[in-house]
Amino acid sequence: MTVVKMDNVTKDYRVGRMSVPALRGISLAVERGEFTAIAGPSGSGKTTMLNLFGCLDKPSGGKLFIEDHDIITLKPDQLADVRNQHIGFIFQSFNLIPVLSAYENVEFPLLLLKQDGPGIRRKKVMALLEQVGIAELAGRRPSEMSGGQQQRVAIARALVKEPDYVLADEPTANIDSKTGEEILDLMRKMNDTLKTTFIFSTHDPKVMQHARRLIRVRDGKIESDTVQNGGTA
Amino acid sequence: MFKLALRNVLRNKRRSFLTGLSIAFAVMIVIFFWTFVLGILNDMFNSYVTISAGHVRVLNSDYLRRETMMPLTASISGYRPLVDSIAKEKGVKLASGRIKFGVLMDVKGKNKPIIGVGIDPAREDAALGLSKKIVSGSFITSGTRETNVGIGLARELGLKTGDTLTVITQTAQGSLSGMNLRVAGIFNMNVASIDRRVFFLPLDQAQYLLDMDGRVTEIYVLLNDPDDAMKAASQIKATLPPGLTASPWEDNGFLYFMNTIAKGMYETLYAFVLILASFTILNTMFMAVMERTREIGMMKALGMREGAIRRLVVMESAILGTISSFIGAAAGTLLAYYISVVGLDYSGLFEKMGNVEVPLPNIYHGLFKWETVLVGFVLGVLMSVAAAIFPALRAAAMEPTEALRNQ
Repeated sequence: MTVVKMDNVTKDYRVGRMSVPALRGISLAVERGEFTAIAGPSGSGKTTMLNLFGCLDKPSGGKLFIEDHDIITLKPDQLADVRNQHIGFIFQSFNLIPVLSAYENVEFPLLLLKQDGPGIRRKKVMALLEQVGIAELAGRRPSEMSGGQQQRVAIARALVKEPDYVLADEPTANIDSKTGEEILDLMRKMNDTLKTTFIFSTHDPKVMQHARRLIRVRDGKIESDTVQNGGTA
Repeated sequence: MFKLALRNVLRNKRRSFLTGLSIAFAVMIVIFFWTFVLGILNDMFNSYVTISAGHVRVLNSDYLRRETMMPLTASISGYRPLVDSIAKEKGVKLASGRIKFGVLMDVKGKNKPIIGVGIDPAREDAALGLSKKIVSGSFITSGTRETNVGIGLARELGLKTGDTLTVITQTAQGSLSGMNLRVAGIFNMNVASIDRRVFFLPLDQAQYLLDMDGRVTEIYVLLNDPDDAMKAASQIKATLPPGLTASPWEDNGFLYFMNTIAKGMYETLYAFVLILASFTILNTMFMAVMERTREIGMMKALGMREGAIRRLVVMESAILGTISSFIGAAAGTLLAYYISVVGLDYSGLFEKMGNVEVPLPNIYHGLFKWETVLVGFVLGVLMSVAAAIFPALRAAAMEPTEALRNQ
């Protein structure tokens, strides 16, 4: 089942009077359960692709569908609802809310979703903190945790609302390589056990090796799209 | 969301403390000064009304035109039935005949103009409690050649209770007349211009001295509610014989200025104090929003709607504003209560200023009202919320991609 689909998508940015193309006609579909890396050098368009997948931006041309939603037609609050209901985010620099504890940071998307009562929320949050291995740090604030621990909280936050897919923008860029490995292993484990779709960007060859599908982009175009590590196309 | 807003307020404790301090200070200042000014205006109004103006005065139209000359010829004859009928009007607390006349006194070789006021002692004391203002001796009684002298005037003339005040003046017919009055008591109205310029004597003695038997210069009317003066004046006017008129206190330019324009001026001033304080909140909230640009971008990415972000920012400011306004209101209440009960003594200053023509009290007392405290508190909170609206709109309008790129 397709969770996100791009059809001849272009994206231009205005720099002064100039229009600079960031994506030049991308077409691809991501199926449920994929563990996909979008790889490429700086300026290749991978972050732009992630922003479009994340409904944080709209394409300049072409079509973008998330589940059944035609993104181009949606208003800001409708886009916010799509993000809230369908997409999980993991950021390069974790982006946890510093005044909230690990537990409260993971609970935050559930509060925005307004579907579960306090009891169910507590069960869901604690289950995920267990799964990412930091249940004992639930009461700590981000400033009291290491980078790796913070990224684990961010993964739990992305997964807690059981999204259709999780977007991760260079999730290991701000942590050391050993912790980076652990984070990728954790993401893979979540992909295996929860069947959550992961789409992440990277320019690190070691990280690319972990992907089951590797999409290379260069100059705003897809250079290659390959299946590896037993993935399915 | 409340928990998040509260923690955001506490995130930068020093900045929140300083902002809170400026809000609290502004609220305190507004409550304190408003109490102070209300007290002064109220004192001035009451003193001036009590001694000179009344809420409504019935006068000879000719007298009203030449009031500064205090023309005794333009008087009201056969006033008693009029006083009785006015006293029966709805909302009238007191109606009483008075004679006001000017006297030149020799004070240390200089001529000093002072004002004699003939009153019906028993009737006026019952309504105004004038006898309570006597600080030494006793209140005057009808049929006796007695006077009550202001404390400042007594000091200047070297008079004490039991002494004799010799008054020489012109009668209504223009001939000279004199009378020795025993100083029965000395009053302190706590208003320099009255205490230093006025003496009271029984109305019958004033009529005798001025050759005005059966006549008065005005009928002094006090109402239950000063705000009814305009209506009462027109009602009374309708019952008066030709040649007489009724003047409400609003026609007195000085009183009108004090009660309406001065209050308006002070209210404008308070608005400025609050607006100035609101700039610190505006600045704080802007800084808070700018510092948290990436965090706001992340919240939007997680699906927080623009309305929710606006509410979050406004709520932070409202929390800070409510706590600070409460502290400011508590401090303002203490100060306002102090100024109302103890007051500030300015009598020394007025001694140095010499003849003060404005009826300012020697001791300023505030007029404490819970209403003032409530208004100060509510204004503080509203100002905090209003100042956060612009930063809140700015936060909600941020593009998530740009906000997330912010370092």
